[in-house]
Parts: sequence; structure tokens; C-alpha cells
Amino acid sequence: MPAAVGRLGRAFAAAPGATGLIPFITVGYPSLDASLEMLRGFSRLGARAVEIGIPFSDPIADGPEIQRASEWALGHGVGARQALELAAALRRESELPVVLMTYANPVLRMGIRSFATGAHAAGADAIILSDLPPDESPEVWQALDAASLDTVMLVAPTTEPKRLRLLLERSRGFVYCLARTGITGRSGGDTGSLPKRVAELRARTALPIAVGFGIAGADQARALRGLVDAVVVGAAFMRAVSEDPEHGAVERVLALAAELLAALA
Amino acid sequence: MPASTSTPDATGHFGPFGGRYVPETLIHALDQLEAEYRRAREDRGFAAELESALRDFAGRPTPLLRASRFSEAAGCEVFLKREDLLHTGAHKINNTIGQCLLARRMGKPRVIAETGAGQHGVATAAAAARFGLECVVYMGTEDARRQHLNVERMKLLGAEVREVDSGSRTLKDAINEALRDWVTRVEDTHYVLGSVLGPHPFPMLVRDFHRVIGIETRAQFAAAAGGLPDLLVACVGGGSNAIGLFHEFLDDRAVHKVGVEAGGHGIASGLHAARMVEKSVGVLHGTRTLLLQDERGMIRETHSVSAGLDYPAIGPEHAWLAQQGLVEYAHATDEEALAAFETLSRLEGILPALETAHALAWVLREGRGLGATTRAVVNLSGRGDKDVSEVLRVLAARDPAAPGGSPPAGRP
Repeated sequence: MPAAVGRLGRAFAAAPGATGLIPFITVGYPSLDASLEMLRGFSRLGARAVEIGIPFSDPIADGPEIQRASEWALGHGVGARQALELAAALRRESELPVVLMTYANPVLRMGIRSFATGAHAAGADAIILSDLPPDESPEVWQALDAASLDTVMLVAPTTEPKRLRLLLERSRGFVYCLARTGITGRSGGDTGSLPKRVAELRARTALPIAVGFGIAGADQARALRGLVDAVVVGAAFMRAVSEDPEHGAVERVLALAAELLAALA
Repeated sequence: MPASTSTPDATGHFGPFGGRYVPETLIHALDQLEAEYRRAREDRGFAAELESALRDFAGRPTPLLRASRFSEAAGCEVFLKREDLLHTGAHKINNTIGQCLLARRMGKPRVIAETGAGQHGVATAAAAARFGLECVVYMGTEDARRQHLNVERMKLLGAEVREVDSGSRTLKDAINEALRDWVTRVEDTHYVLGSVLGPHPFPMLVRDFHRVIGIETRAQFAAAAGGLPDLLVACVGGGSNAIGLFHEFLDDRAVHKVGVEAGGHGIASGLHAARMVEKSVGVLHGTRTLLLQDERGMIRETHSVSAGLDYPAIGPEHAWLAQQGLVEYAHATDEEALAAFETLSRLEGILPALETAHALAWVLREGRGLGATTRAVVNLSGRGDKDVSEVLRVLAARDPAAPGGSPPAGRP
């Protein structure tokens, strides 16, 4: 089992037993400048890491909040190249670990080697590809390994034990445990089995465990404090932007981040 | 057995195409579906149930009609495989019966489907009603407008129709929404995918449920005309009716196969759904295949007068057949398809679906060059009743003196 190394590994190792926050934002929503301000704020407030979403035209794993953010970003000409530039801009001033999250097609179109070397050069630490299982397209995983990028796997409530072995073998940095079946931002459904699922994961991996999907507010975050190593929140931030994208988006996003961090402290 | 050149490998790949590009949450459901399908395939009880439903509920076998007057207009001998005569009006029901039976075997009480032209939605709603399953159909608002009659048919059959107002508001966006539903309710829901698209095992099992088209055609053609046809022609959106006709003949290299894509307003206009022109490789809706995308890897919007062909990706097996040179892919424009629609209606007394009209248009364009002794089978994949208002609207826009418009090509 690969141990956690690199910037992500160090960030988790520095806070043993604590539950950190990993905010997700879609690059360029509402603007590239605002995205950079959000990342700076997350770094200042003490987020464990940050996820930068690269928009895709057909985001089948995402709910309306991230779909809307993606459409906005694409409409403003923002894509993978701008995400790498954003990561590089943050890296010049912060050691906050950066996870790039997207779908297979935008990175395949760029060329996986070109994407992987570009991400590494920009100071990104890890990649999540929402629609690429670990047993599909081996050349993608090889290229990400070769560029020393952590590959974060999503473990679902529907994942069978046999399948889990494959996911954990491919996991680097941390394991992303989905709180529920479904798409991002949807907060319904049963999460009662989560403590049991996390315990099962703990028994099988030494990697840190993050939980996400449908975690929207302080109460939900507080309920996870002490159970997992980090909580991922994304759609709630994009919802905060969409209230009024042109005004006060950064302030609302950072206020929510502060509230979540206080709940997790 | 299917041709070895066209069987997916153990992980669902057709050469470099196909596979499973889905969120992890769906992997278990795909494994379960594949296992159930493999068991069902070996189960005589399932085969008997499927056969009886295809015969008594759907109306198989469908006839093969010698289209004498259309042949004269086309300049070659044309036979029509009458999938338009099936219950609900298109080939789609071959697949929805099969998948609804699989859903029932898996103990899933709820099915969902996407639909473009509405034919797959209606066929799913009908099969779901027949087998006692709850049914939700996703349909783009633009398609719902173009195919209003089918929306009402689905509702009458007891299905809930959810209109999708994102993106291009057509088939692509309906599939996005159906996948989001499935990933959310995967435990009690089966996704009845309507074409040879999506993650493995869908391209394989949808194809297998449609292979009956080619199997019947082979026997009927031999009985009616003797030997094998020289040519098979079918329209290709995702490509289910085409693969259903072609597959039985893949090992017969002397039988030429042509898949006809939607040329829309013409390739130069950029408003079309002809994926085989650029042959750009990408990933959409769970499969790696040939599709229309921009330089950033964003999926392009498509255009076709026929909702069923208005989709940016072609089934992965078609991509593989094209790469091996086993099937030729061509396209017909909106204009040509409308003319073919009128021609078949007037010469043979059959209103074809606008999707199907693309295959007919190719024959009208190329028939003379093929020569009078060439014997072609066109898969008449659906009937055109659903398209009447859209055809009248387009003709009226083109020529205010319509209905009817200008005399079609080949009118005697």
C-alpha cells in the first residue's frame, strides 16, 4: 500500500486526528481573479487542500450548482489551461496542496502526457478524474504516475469489497469516500452507513480519508468531525457564488469556508 | 456467432473504442447487469420469454418488402426491412423488451430512459407497462417540442416524462440527466439505454437485442430473392438499427454495408451530426468513440432535422467497424432526407421516420451509380407518423405554398 507522501501527505501528517476542510471551486467562476482570491483565502484560513474543477460540457457526476459553474466558465473561455495557470499562481505564494478535478475527455483531448507534465510543472499535487475508473485507460494512470501526481480514487457506497482492493491499490494522497450515491450537491439519501464504511476503509488503508458529496453546511461538517481526516465541500461554494456572481462572491465563499472550519475545529 | 472482429473483449472494448468511463458509483450496477445478461443468455426460459414477447407483443417477425416503385426512382433494386411495423413504430422495442425483462430479473422495480425522437421513450414506456415497472423518461425540451405526440404517448402509457432544459436541450442532455438519475438511484433502478452507446455492457447487449433484424433479413431475402443482398443501408445516430441489420452479415464481406449519418445543413455549415467526417476520438457518456468536439475537448452541439440522429457520438462498435473498413459511413442532409421522406410516402405508401429517411436519401443519391442489378436492403427502422407536424413545419418554412412543397426527387 503506498504511503502518503508529497505535499498532500505532509498536510495530513501535520494535523493527526484533526478533520480538515478541502474546498472545491470551478476555475473561472465567476472569474479567474476571483478564483485566485478564493484560493488565497482558503490558504489563509487553514484549509487542508483545495480542489480546482476543470469544466467539462457534459458533467454527468455533477448536480446543477457545478453544471452552472462549468457552463459559465466555458462560456468565458476557461478550461484546463487556465486551471493550470491558476494552480501555478497559487503555488508561487502558498504550499496549499492542489487537487485538479475533471472528466476524462478534456485531459485526453489535451493529451495525457502534456496534461500530466503541465500539472506537475504548475505545482499541482493530485488529480481526480470523475469518470475514469482505475481499470480503464492504463496509459492515463501511467502518465500521471510518471509526473509524480497523486491519483485520488472515489469509493462509493456501492463499491464491492473485491473492487475496493483495486481502488486502494491505485489510491495516492488520500481516499475520497462518497457520502452517498448520486451527484454533487445533492444532500438527500441515506448516509447512516458512513461510520461503518469509514471503519472498513481504515482497516484496509493507511491513507487519509476524506468524505464528500452533499456536505453543504456546518451541521453536516460537525457530524463528521473526528470521523474522517477531511471533508470535501464543493457545490455549496458554487451555490454561494451563484447567488450573485458579479458581487461579493469571494466574500460569501470565504465566509462559508470560515464557518465550516469553525465547525470542524 | 458474431464476427470475431466485432466482439468486445472482456473489458468491453472494441479495439481502441468502448470501455467503461463512468463514476465509480455505477461500476457495481454495470457488473451486475453484465452478469445478469450473461446468465440470461444461457437461460432457455429467458429466451422463450423474450421470443414470445417479441412475437405477440411487438409483432415480430417484420416483413421484408420489395419496393418496386421506389426501386425505379432509386435506380437499383430496393427491399425494405419493415421495422416500422413493430409495436410503437420503430425497432427500438426489440431492445426495451429485452432490457425490461433483465430489469425484472434483477429485481429492479424502476426503469429510466433517455429519448431523442421519442421512439425509444415510447418503446420503454410500453415495455415497462407490459412488465409492471415504474418508468421515467428524460427528453430535451427542444426534442419534446419537435416530438410532442410522443410525449403524450409516453404519458398515456403511464410513464413520467421529465423535460431537460440544459445544454442543447436534445438527446445528449437527456442522457446526462438519465445518468445523473441512475447514479443517484442505482440500487432500485435500471437504465434502459436506447442505443449501442454508453458504458460496457450496453453497446453489446443493445446490439444483441437488435441482431434479430439481420437474422430475419438473411432468411427472408434468401427466400424472396435468393442468395445474399449486395448492399445493406441504415441510418446511424447511436447506431442501434444499423448494427442490428449489419451484424449478422459482418462475415459476408461481399455484402457492402453503409451507415448514413445526419448531414444537417451540410458539412461545411458545421450544423450536422456526421461524426465520421472528422473521426475525432473522445469520451462521452461512458464510452470512448468518435465524436464531435472542440479543441478543448468540449462536446459540440449538433444539428439534424431528425431528433434521433441529433447526437454528437457514434456507438463504439461503429467506430471500430469504420476503422477496420468493414462498414462505409456516409451522410445525407436535412434537405435530402425530407425529399426521401416525400418520395417513399408517395411511391410506396409508407411514411418513414425522418431518421430512416436519411438511409433512403443515400439510396436515392447513389442508386443509379450502383446499377439496376444491385440488390439493396434498407432498414426501414421507424415510421414517420411522429414526424408529420415537423415535416409540415419545415416544408412550410421552405415554401409557404406547402404542404407538400416542391415535387420530390424521383417523382414519376
